[in-house]
Amino acid sequence: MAKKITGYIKLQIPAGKANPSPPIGPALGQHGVNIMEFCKAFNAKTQAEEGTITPVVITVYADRSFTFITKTPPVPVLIMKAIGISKGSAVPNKTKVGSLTKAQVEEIAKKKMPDLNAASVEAAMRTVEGTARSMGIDIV
Amino acid sequence: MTDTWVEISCRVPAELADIVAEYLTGLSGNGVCVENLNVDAFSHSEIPESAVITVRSYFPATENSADRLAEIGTFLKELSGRQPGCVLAEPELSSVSTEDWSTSWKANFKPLRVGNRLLIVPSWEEVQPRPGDIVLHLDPGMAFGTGGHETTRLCLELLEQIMDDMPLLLSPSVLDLGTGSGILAMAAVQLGAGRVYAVDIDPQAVEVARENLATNGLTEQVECSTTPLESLSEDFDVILANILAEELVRLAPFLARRLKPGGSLVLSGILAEKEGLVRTGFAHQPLHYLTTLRAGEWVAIHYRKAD
Repeated sequence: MAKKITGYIKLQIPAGKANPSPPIGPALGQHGVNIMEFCKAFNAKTQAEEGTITPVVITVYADRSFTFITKTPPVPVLIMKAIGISKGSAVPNKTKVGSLTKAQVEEIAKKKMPDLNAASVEAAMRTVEGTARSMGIDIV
Repeated sequence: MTDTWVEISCRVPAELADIVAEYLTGLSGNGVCVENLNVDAFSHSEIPESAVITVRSYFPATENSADRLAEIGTFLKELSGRQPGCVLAEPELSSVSTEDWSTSWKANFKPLRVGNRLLIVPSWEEVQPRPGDIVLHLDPGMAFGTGGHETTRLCLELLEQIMDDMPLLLSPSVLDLGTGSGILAMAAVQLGAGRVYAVDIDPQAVEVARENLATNGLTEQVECSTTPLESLSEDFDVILANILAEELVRLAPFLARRLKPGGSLVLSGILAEKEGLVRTGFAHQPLHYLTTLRAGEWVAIHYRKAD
């Protein structure tokens, strides 16, 4: 079909738990797409990772049909998973919440490579390190 | 379900969007919206990357919004302190209009009359068809072809004309190339086609088309697959190809080859400015140009193959 793109939406939402409340409702509602169909399909696709924050990119076409793709969890979520905490530091200057080894940085960088605009693993590692420091997490 | 919400949005450089999104998700528990663009593009590569992102989070209006705003403001100040030369804007609070998002989207989809006889009806709408009407039941979803777009409508109009002009040929065979929701294939069956073959290289579209065929009780009449045109060996009386101009030109020899002598080829998904490109691309095929239909910025072209 002749698909012309009219809307482009990025959400980060818990896997397997999509519902028409915000942020999904207002975001998709603005483009007039079938919100219930999105929730049903997203939940079916992400059920196995229920609760994990999952980035999803929704493309809306000129006749209000849509498609979506899910991505690997955001870097901060992968960092927290790696060091076994549930939340980054709300005050990263003052509160150190943990540390990440170079090996963990590399593992996260490789996992996230497909979604990052990084030319190499090294470049992706620098992105991960920068994110970790901003979260109050040291690299050791 | 909470009925009233407030939105707290933070405008941050793209490289900090994930951190802010993670923080806000931790506070709200329901996720965030990190981008919401109105675009006019044919591919994702035409959509520019945003340097500044507005991360939107939502909280029940029953909470103390001022406290929440201050808490988020403190986080952003601390975060900007970690970034040399970076000053982050204050978060902004706005109210969200109360709406039942589970049903409000349906207002965009109403029964739609196309051509003389076709009536496309969403499942939640009741209609009283006129005598002779052909009703297609179709809900919008994850495949193009809700009927509301010019490219689909032009195809349906030409298809109806072609089928009406074919009284001597009983039950013509139809190929729907790039079927999407299956709307053209379903219309073809209802307009009197015999064998109908609906193909789409997107497996998800084929799945959606099959669901729509089942809803309309047409599963037996239409075969669906992801087989590319180049691999088909069967010839058809009518071919409908609603894809895009460049792809139509690429497929020109295959489209002409799969058309039976005297058969009709409908090309759609063509911007008016690209009609010349398509006409030139098909000039060397054994096809007679018949007509061009226009709607908005789109055109559909009808060819007939020599007998």
